[in-house]
Amino acid sequence: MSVRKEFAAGAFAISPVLAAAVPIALLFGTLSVSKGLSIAETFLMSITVYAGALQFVAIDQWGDPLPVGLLAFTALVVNIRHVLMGASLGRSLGGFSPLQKYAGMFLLTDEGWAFAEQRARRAALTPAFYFGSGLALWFTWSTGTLVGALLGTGLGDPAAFGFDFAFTAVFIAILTGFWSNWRTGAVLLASGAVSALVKLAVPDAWYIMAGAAAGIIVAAVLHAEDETPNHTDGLMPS
Amino acid sequence: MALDPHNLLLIALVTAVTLATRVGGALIMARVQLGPSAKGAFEAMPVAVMTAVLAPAALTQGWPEALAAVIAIVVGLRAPMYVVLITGMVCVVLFRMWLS
Repeated sequence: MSVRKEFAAGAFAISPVLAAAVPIALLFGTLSVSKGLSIAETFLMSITVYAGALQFVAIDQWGDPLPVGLLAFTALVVNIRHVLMGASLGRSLGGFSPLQKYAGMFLLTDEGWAFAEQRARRAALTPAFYFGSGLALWFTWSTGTLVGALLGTGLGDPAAFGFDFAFTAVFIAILTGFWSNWRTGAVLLASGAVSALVKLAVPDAWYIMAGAAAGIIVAAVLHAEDETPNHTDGLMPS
Repeated sequence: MALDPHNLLLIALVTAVTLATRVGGALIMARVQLGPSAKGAFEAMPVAVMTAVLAPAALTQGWPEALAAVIAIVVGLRAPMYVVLITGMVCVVLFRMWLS
């Protein structure tokens, strides 16, 4: 497939996420200016930080005096999951030049990453597909927050139309696409239960890493049996 | 269109921390070999990380969100993403009207 077709295929694949991102981006823009950031600062933050969950948490803590240490710490806690995501995706970036690889990591988001992982399970992940989906989301998010900041507080309450639930629904749709067997269910249960419990018990965003770690440990344990020599699934003729 | 130097500094700081987490994983992976257990762990990462991000938002906000999430899961096993998106949003609005 040509580079242009792959780029378009990436942007098209992620289009439901773009639709869900627009109302959230608008909301972030209005919140940000209501917290005292200028329109230019709001736009700049979306272009450079480009991490929706963190931006909402950060803008909530923004105040006078600026809580520098707290924000740096929050950024680390909320975004530490990127290390896992980058490590996992790194295995599928064989067709990327070093520059493409590290430039691509700048575009790492939950949704863009999930699409790249899904793609990599079906076919080789091309840089064009990755940047097509990644740049489409980056452009949508940053322009969406800019428009939200320009409109200010004139926007209605997104909850009235269920827009606040849009990302949850898209996340669920992405997740179900990863289902392969009962092991997936075990990982899902472990991650979901631990993250929900930690969220209720512990402040800050530690619940993401706690839940992720629980699911990953369960997966490692369930796959440990593959290491025993008498395990011959897939090797014997059926 | 003011750019306050303190705000700029803070945006730069948050950007730097975020970028470090984004590049960190790829840097680590460039230098490790994986056994079956570790491979299984890596395969599970998308599900584990996404569930951990999602579950509290879906389960701890209230009945309307939790029920809409369950319906979205069932629909998501069969239908394309746009259908899941619309169904989830419609369900959450209806459940909020009925259950509150």
